[in-house]
Amino acid sequence: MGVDNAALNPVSISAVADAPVVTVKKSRGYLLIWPAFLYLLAFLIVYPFGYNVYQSFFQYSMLTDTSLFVGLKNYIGLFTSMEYLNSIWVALIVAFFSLTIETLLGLSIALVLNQNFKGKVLARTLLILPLGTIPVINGYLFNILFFPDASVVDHIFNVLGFVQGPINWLQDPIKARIVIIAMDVWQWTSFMIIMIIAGLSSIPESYYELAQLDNMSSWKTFWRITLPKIKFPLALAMLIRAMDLLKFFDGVYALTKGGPQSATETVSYYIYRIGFKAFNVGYASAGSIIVWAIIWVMSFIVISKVFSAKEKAA
Amino acid sequence: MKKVQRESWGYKLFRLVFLLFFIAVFLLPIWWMIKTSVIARTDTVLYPPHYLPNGLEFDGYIRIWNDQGLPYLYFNTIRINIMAAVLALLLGVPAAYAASRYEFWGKEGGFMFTILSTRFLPPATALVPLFFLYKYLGLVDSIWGLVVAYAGLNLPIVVWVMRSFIDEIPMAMEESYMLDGHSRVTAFFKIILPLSAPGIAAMFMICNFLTWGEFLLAAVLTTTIPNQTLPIGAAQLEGDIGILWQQITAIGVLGAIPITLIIIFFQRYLVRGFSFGILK
Repeated sequence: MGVDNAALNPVSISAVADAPVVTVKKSRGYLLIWPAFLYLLAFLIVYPFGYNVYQSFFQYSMLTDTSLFVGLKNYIGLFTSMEYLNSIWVALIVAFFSLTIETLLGLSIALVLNQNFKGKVLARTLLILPLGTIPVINGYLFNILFFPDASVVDHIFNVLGFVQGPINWLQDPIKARIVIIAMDVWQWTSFMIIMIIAGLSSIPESYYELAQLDNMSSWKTFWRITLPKIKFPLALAMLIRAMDLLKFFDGVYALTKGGPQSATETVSYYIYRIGFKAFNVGYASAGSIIVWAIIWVMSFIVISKVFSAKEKAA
Repeated sequence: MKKVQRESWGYKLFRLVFLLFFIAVFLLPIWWMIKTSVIARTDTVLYPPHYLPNGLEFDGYIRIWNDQGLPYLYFNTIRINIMAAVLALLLGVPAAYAASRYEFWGKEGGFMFTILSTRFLPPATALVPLFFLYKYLGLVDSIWGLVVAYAGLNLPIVVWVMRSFIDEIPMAMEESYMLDGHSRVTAFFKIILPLSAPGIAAMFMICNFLTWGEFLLAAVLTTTIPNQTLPIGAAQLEGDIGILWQQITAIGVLGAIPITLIIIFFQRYLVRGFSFGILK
């Protein structure tokens, strides 16, 4: 088996042998974490991450194909660049609203789908279908749905009497952001629904029966029983979404290209534009390291708060 | 045991309206994708819009089959995602087992957090260095390059989710089996693997969901149709003569079919596999 070969890998064994290992077992099974770790180390950490750290201190010139050491100049430049700060702000706004709406919507839909009624499986299937679509194609699709002067959404809003005339979604900064958020919510609420239903379905029925014997209101049952029980899957799902949202790219690329002006230019798109269109590699690298640091801090707080509580509960 | 039913008619009506509303909202874009793929280009954006196609045209499908190398794109997307998920599971499940069953130096803050942190970099960032690394390894414009990259993207999620899954399996089950004279390795294959099979199956599906539509890495690391995937094929249809809506949505419809089939046939396992895994 590949597993055994990997565990016997001489490199990984010698690398750990000198480390002060505290182990409760005589077996060396803990070495099994090394194949995964080395894989990520090789393909993502050492080279890509190291390259970015290195390049973030240099200014690259395409003309001469040389790099000049500039110290912290790229970082200072970014922190005083309105474009960069704006792109971080946009990413944060999009991530905040998308995540909030996806969580609340996912939670309400999952709670309803967790009840017993006719057609439940059909409803659940239909509500998680958007998960199967391809993000970049959704960008083009939402382009049609919100097309200037011929938007389907405008038509529905007009028919329902919410507005009169065209809304021009993609020409207005605020409305364009709403479209971006709507697109993400549309596709990824399904992901939240699946994760939350999974959490809900493992709460034993007897808990609810006890709550009923106690005459607990459904509101109280939710806060006292349901929510504490699904806290970890919910936190994990939200963390996965938050990490991906802060790197939001595909939809922006296919739908707005960052416009109008730079209202929907997320930090991922900014890095792509600066690095690949303007070939300002040093700036793009420094910009990525900053994003990496932001997500690092966020994840660290979430994990140490939520998952250390999990260990205490165990 | 069945839950005691105490639902009023008012509530049942509310639930019906609530679900129908969201089903309608969720399905509208999907319907629009299907509809756009089978109408004439000139009918794509009309006001007021036609909610049903007036006449069927399969031009988009024929063109992507003939001009865009659809068979390649489709087959590549499927096999790259499956192989990447399998590779991530082969590396990730043993790692999750180690993290769940052993205490060792630097486990949480060192190994586990570093593994997760590989998902923190914006995708655009990894592109340039990965491209150079792949060029050196001869992996540029090869499906193997994408398999390796996608496995790397999935690995952190696999390790983290499978770890909490294995945490759920009582240690006593392995220990009593080992007391019967079996080794830890046999215990892993005979006890842990079968018990975590639902979680592994669910994880396999989630891996496919997460990388199925990956765009940026595939766009830079592959250059010719025989090695490209569906999202790249779609993005190439935005050109000088405008966006070729019919072809793009046709790729969207076909691309959604495999994942949709998984959702329809395996959602029970998805829910069951996960409910066991992510809870403590």
